[in-house]
Amino acid sequence: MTTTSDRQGLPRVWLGPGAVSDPRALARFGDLAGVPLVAGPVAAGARRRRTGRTVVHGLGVGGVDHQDARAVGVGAAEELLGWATARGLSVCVALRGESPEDLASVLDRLRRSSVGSAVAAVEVDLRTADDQQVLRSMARVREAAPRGQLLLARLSIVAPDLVARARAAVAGGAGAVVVSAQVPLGPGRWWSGPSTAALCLSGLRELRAAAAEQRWPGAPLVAAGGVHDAASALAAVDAGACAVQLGTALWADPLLLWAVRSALEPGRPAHAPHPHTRGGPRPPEST
Amino acid sequence: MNAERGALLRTGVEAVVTAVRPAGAFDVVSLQVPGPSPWAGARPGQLVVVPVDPRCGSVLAQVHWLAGVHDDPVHGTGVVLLLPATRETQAGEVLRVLGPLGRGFAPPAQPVPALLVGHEGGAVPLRWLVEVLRERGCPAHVLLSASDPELHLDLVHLRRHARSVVLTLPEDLPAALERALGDPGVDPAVVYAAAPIPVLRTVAAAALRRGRVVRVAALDLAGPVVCGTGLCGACDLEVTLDRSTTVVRPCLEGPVVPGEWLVEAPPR
Repeated sequence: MTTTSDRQGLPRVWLGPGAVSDPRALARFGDLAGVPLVAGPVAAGARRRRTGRTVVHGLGVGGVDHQDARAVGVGAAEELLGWATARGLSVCVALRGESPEDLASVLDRLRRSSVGSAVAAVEVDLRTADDQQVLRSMARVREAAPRGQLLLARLSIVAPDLVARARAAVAGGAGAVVVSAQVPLGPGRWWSGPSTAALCLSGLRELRAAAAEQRWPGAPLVAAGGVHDAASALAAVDAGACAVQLGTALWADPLLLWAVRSALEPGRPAHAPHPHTRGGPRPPEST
Repeated sequence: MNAERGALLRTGVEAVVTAVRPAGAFDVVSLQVPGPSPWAGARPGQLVVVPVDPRCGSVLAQVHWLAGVHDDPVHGTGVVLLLPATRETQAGEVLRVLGPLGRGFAPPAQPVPALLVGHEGGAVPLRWLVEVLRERGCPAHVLLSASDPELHLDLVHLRRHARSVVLTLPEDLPAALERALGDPGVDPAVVYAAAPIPVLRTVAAAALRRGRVVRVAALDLAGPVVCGTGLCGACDLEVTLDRSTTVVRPCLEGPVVPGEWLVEAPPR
């Protein structure tokens, strides 16, 4: 299970919220140890007990035009947390909210629930937020989260000034940045799939170069978009990612999860953030 | 056994196409798979997934109903799929197959009469189910609807195993179903159905009104988005459970579910 103390080993493979609407389906295909399951997206006020039907507007070459996954209530996240805890698996809760207070209220409820301690990481959906909103949201989530909780900020590559938003995320308390290459097609509507690989790599390179120039403090990067086989996962790592997130690629082949995980595992070090910056994978905390 | 099955699911199996037989708009494709496990426990109504390489442009795997599994010491384990003729499957082709997935049809414990209702290509599970029922001594009657005669499924095979096969147009299916349910020569104790969801709701309601047991394969593989593994959620279905509405995911919790789940107000 991913905890504060072993954050140096940031899991190399994550699951995309929305695309993997029920990670329990993956358990049929193999061992999920070391892969944080994804709960959500969870939003304040949502009552759905399950991440609902994926609304797909169309399938195209190398991608899918889809609506954002509808958010579920805290109860749904608690159910998955209970299931995962019983099996010794870790869970990343994907948060979505209109305001920082919405985000914090969900986290606060989860923290007080009986399975709250099983939350290994929290990913905050900030794809449509500007740098000020990113800063306010992450800071509020940081306040609401338990001390040492790994927080990830999900940022869109295609929104303006990626570096400023990444800087704001880290300033607000994010321990890692998820570089999302989904292309916005309208309100709540996105294009996802292997055709976004080049966009994702460009975002990773931009953030790596900016960290080298000390334009942001640097943090582990998670590539989310266009990772559809071991080679594209390794390309993302070469471009600066510490880890990759798999989403629609698993619709085409659920076994990619294990193929990518094993490709990223054997002795291949994650890209180290710029040595003069903070925020990279941290050594284990001494107790 | 479970560990072995899990390992096979995790890797999938390389299946070799050994024969392709045309059947209307479909090809009956026989595949040779290595070893009987996990296929020995396979049932009609289960799925197989043929993963695709996303680099080829598709983000969805191919999902097919399992149309038969046969095991003998001479020929080994064979799996039958019905694939669209337009796919132009060739003997010798190698497919990587994940499966069998999902919950299939459980045949009745006693040799009771059964009515099988299907629509076009969605009726593939019934093709195998009718074989299984015959082996168990259950008289099986088949009612198929299709908008085009070419889309009726492998009729030669069905007629070989069923007591009767009735063909109808989609708009005539409800009336034909009522006739079959009321026919003393059929008198089914159990109704199995595999068709698009609206058809399944009609079948379930009609059969439940007459107090028959109903089991349906609640997954429409002809839908625009089906991952077959339960990840995408596009197959989510609102059902009635204990008089409250909830959502089930046929790819994960089915695809075979009780017919009562599809009926809005279950009859008492």
